Amino acid sequence: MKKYYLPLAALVLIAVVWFGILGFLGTDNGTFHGDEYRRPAFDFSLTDHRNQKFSLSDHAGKVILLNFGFTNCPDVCPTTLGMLGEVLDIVGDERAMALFITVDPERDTVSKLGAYIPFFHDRIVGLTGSQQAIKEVNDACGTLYSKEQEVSEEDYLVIHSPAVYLIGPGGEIVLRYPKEKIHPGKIADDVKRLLL
Amino acid sequence: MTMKKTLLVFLFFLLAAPFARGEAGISVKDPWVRQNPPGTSVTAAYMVIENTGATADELLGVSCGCSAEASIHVIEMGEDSMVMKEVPSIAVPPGASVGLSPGGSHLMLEGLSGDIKDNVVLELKFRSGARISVKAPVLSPSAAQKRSSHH
Repeated sequence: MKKYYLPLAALVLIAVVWFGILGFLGTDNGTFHGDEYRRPAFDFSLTDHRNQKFSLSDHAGKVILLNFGFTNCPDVCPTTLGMLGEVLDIVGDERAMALFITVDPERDTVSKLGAYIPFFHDRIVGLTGSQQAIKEVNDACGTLYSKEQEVSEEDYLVIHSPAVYLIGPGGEIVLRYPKEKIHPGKIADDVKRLLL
Repeated sequence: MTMKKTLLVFLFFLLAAPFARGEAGISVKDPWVRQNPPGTSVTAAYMVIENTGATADELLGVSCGCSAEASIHVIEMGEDSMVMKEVPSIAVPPGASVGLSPGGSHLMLEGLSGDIKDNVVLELKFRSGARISVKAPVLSPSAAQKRSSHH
């Protein structure tokens, strides 16, 4: 009987260490809530809802939430903007901000965004620009969008990604939140971690 | 019961369901409407539709004095995009609750006659013949956030 003690003790020790490591890796301070989406630092220049030039590189050091949408969107876009406002309130740090980039620059002019954006939060910035500039930002993020078959020239919807992206202090996209992972408390946790 | 009989009974109910009337089984809970952001004339209404009756019912239409048009929309997820699609109706099976909520099925209000505030009244029409009129509070973005996270 005695000869089994040593191997058994060794086995128990290995198990304890192994599960200890697994447990450590799985703790909250070891993982983000969003999907890791490492994309190299990028830059873009668009016009904000106050009619000022906005370049991403001017905001290095900030943690930035980015979302695409359009103002004529009845459900998803205002839902996401309300959620982003809640995230900014939870984080409560001037170094956190959110961007709403229109995928409908034809209709979403500076003045349209100027009326729309402040309704949600004073640290959300609405951005518009040329079709080309908007497409380049979408390409950099890997998102697609397309105009829905037009009902009329004025009345159409834009099909786009509901995902939210998180840009780190170095200008790189760190995380992506698909629709099912969008939760204000969890996104706020990730923002706080990146601000540490 | 034999398999054949069971099937026949099932088929009978399936066919009879759309014609069943008068069951006061439909009710609407927690209705609310998203306050439209300045400069927009489109928004969405949300609620839970409950069918405590024994027969299937269907939401067929909606109208609101606040908007020129009102329609039923569902959301279809593509690979990385979402498409809102107008549908003619939403089924409310017996004993079921159907939730219309942000980012999901909703009632789209288009052509708002002005900025909405306080409350709006929605008129819902069902296959069973039921007509339900609900007073829905108009919620600001932060109030809407609170509402969504509690449900």
